[in-house]
Amino acid sequence: MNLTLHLTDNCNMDCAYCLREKCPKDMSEEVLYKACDLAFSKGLRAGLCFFGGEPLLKKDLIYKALDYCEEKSEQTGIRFDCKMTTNGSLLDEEFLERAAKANLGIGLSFDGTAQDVCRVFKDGRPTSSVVEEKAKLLLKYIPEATALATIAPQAVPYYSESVRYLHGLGFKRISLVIAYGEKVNWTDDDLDLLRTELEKTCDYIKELFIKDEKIFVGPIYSKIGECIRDKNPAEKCHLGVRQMPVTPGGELYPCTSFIGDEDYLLGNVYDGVNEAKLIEIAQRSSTPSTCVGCDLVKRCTNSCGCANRMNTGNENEVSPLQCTYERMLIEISDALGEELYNMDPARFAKEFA
Amino acid sequence: MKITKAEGYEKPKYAVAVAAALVAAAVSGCGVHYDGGISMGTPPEDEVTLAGEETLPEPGVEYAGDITPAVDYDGGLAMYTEPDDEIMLAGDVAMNEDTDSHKTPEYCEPIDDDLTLSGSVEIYEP
Repeated sequence: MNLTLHLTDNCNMDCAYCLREKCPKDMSEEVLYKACDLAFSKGLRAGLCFFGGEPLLKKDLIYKALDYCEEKSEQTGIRFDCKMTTNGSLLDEEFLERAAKANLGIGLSFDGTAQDVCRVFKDGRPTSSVVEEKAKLLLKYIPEATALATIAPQAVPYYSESVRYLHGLGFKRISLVIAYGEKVNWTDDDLDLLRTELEKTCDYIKELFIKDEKIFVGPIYSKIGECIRDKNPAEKCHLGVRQMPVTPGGELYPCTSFIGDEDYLLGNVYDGVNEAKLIEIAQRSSTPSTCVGCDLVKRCTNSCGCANRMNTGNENEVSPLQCTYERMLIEISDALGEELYNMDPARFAKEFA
Repeated sequence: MKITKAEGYEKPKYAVAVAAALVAAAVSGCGVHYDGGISMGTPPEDEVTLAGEETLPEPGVEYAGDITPAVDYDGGLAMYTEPDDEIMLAGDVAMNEDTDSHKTPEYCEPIDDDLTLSGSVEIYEP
């Protein structure tokens, strides 16, 4: 099974949109190894995603987990996958050598040219120059690393420029999500501008397609690919019951937005998963009532309990922001899909199907 | 911004065309031909891996076969199975129905899922 390990609740940055309460609480080695054992205990493969806070504040735990799990994978024959989401500021060559050896998939939280708009160090210093250098180092060791940009309203004007910039740095995979929650305040004007920026991003994607240059830009590519394959985003989510976060103290929850809510506690690494509670929570989630009967219900992220909870407080209730954004995104992605298909059907299929 | 139910949505032509071609290729075992007679041939190749490294499966690549729901095109129905993948284990069903009846214990079993990057919400990966 897959787990997200919150190695620490601490972070060396203070991002404007971050909803996580930072505190110097770290995972112990005991909890770490118990979590590793839990990952190997179920399913056909074991997966760990290192997370936080900032996971690189606990490099020692990452090294230990990798060593332990690689040995366990050899002993059991169970495949082991590992990933990490990081702000990148603490990356170094020693870590990256180990990461490359472990085939650690790395997502670098990097808002592109908007980096200093929202992402600063705890003392208020800008982070862009540091993270840009770390990004270049990362790509040297792990060329397929993903750049993860979180777009708050104040970062919208930088959206398409950021995609070009990140791609120019060498990222072939770029994932952009809009910031949700109480720390951001979206207006209709922000969404109008976002539409323009998405269209400019599509223009860039077209340029690259014509030149046969590879790039993955989520969510646009995801929307097109999912449409071709009739894949419902809800199939991936399952309210996180298949990739549970593990808190520093070893508690299990369905997803990050539910951490600390006793009603959603799914167990712990010592006692394991409370199966009955797991099913109860899974059965609690349903299509939001506002989405029933919508023609796009199987194309949008109305099933994302985390996003719903961040925006409305209820995992089964979407927000007007999410609905407006998703409809816009699907429309723009489909328009791009049509254009690219008409340009070169065979290459389009190869790239997106 | 407001919650608006979409009506009159039709599956885009690009999706219908590509899905149909992939089904035809899967069924016939031959290369796919699009306008202009270009043969698609084998499934897309993986991206470049680190030189000198064993070619390991890419993060995000699905290894369990994924039987998607029927694709509607020209009034016909077909099933698309991702090439070279195992068939998904029984009990793992499509989501987002209005009722909870499909959320059996099997639904909650971590059978063979891809590991995903963690973030505040879902991260988009290839």
